[in-house]
Amino acid sequence: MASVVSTVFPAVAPSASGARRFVVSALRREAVSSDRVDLAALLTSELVTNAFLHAGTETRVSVRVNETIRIDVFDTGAGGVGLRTVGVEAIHGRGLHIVDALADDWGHEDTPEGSHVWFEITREPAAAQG
Amino acid sequence: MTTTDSGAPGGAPSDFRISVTDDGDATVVAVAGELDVATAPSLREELYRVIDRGVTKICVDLADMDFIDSTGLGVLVGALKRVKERDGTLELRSLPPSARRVFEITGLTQAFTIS
Repeated sequence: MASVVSTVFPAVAPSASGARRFVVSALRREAVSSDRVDLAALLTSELVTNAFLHAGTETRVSVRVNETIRIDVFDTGAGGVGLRTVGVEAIHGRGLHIVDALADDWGHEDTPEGSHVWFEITREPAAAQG
Repeated sequence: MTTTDSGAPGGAPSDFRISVTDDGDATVVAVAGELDVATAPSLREELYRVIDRGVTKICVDLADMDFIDSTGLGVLVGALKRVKERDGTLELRSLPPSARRVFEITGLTQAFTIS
């Protein structure tokens, strides 16, 4: 049975750490292994940071855990999420590349309400927890 | 030595700290805590202040950095560019294993000297 929790963060920079802590806490409650928790926190940080920087609206983060861990991030901005080509000296634009490289699957869609970005990573056995 | 607290508002953890020292060889900028969109601006300011006062040999010590994402990477890349424009060097010291992964997948292990 899947467990789903969701919360809303304001359009301020500290919401990135707030969202990380929310995800960490939700996944620890489900006894997810610590390296998976850390990875989910990193990828969540990237998506919530993008929402803050590009949409500038409040952001809803939802966490679902069953065989996979799925995080959904919704904002109410204009959308337009996409991978850009990033030079080695670029200051911005690496966030979605990190998500693309480390998530098992991810995607985005523009909705009538705003933008929706999500990722999934596999869950490791709880026995792997340290 | 100067220490900067990033006093994050809204009850968020504010244990991010930057210290600047001189170890006789390089100016060492040590980062402690979580480097993200809320804390990166204070690191950028500190690094640019060091570079703009003419320091050309900078070592960023990351031993006590608990977290870094793409925003933090961007600040380090920006500082590297700025110091290279002045014919200086910026190397990273004590990169935590958990952070090494984001440097590797973004190709930045090639851009930085990491000791």
